[in-house]
Amino acid sequence: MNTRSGQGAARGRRRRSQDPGVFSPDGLWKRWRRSSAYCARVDFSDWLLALHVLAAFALIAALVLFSAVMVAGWAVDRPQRAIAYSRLAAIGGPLVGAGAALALLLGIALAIDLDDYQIWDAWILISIALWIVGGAAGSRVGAHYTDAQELAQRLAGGGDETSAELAAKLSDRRVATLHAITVTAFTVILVLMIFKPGA
Amino acid sequence: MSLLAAIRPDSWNWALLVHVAGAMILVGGLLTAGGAAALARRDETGALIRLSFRTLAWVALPGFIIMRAGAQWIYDKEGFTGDDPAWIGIGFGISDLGALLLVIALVLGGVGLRRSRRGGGEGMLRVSGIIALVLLAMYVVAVWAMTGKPS
Repeated sequence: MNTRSGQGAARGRRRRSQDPGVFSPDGLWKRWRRSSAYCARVDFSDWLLALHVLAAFALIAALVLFSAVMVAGWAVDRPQRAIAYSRLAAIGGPLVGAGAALALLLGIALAIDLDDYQIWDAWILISIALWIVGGAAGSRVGAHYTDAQELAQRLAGGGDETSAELAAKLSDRRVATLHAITVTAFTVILVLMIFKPGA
Repeated sequence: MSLLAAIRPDSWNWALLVHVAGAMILVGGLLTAGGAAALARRDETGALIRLSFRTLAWVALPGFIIMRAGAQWIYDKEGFTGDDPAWIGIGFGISDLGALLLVIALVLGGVGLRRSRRGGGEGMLRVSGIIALVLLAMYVVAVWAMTGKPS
């Protein structure tokens, strides 16, 4: 968690900080940034970085949760148990959505805020491309499990009998592959964020 | 913050990757364990409370070990000599207290799971899940401290 350790002071120097004057909108923005940094004793860029990393943690934590649910629910054939797992998976839905969106937006804001990085740096562009790949694969996995949850709820209306259709839906290898693509894409993004090749 | 620490050498990247990846696995394990425990009251099958303990044991514990090993690795590389900044104190403090709480949660969960086979142990499994949620909140603070680096 020691991302870009101890950069607050140096980063302040590297930022685009030519003061345009107090009365311009940009000047007011920069004054607000200085005052908020003073109050919180945390630099504005460090706030951006902290929130960016927290969003990434939310995203990866949700992927860990989905993986655990997927493994635990593999080939489950009783609807009540499938419903229990789907309730747990529902926690991950908002986290993965908000985490992915905020990680991207705050990452772009950081690239704009810091002189050391540009939005068109290769490692940033590759990360954005992987974000799209991971997001697309993940949304297909989500749609599949929503269908499985609806099937489980329909089946639960008639008791808790075993269902081969439900078991097949919960052990779909194509969906497991899509989930693996999602996890791999976001893991490679993490590696790129730390190594920053070419930066 | 020392200017010497302002630029991270590339040789620290592997240590940082191990540390961050371990922390993400740990937080994911705690989220799953805590979430499963919180939802377990409405689950008559008992699947969620068992999943809660198993996630703590098989995901959160390895994640903690990887995170802590990475922390020590990068700490040694940074070469702090006793005058550690506040964020390092917060990180190590939460990590050490977190280790203790994780062990307690695992012991309670393990005993609870064993008793659940004879029809008991639900309370212990629930407490284990509650500890996971407390740990989750602590590690969110740690992530903020490690990245925001309050002076």
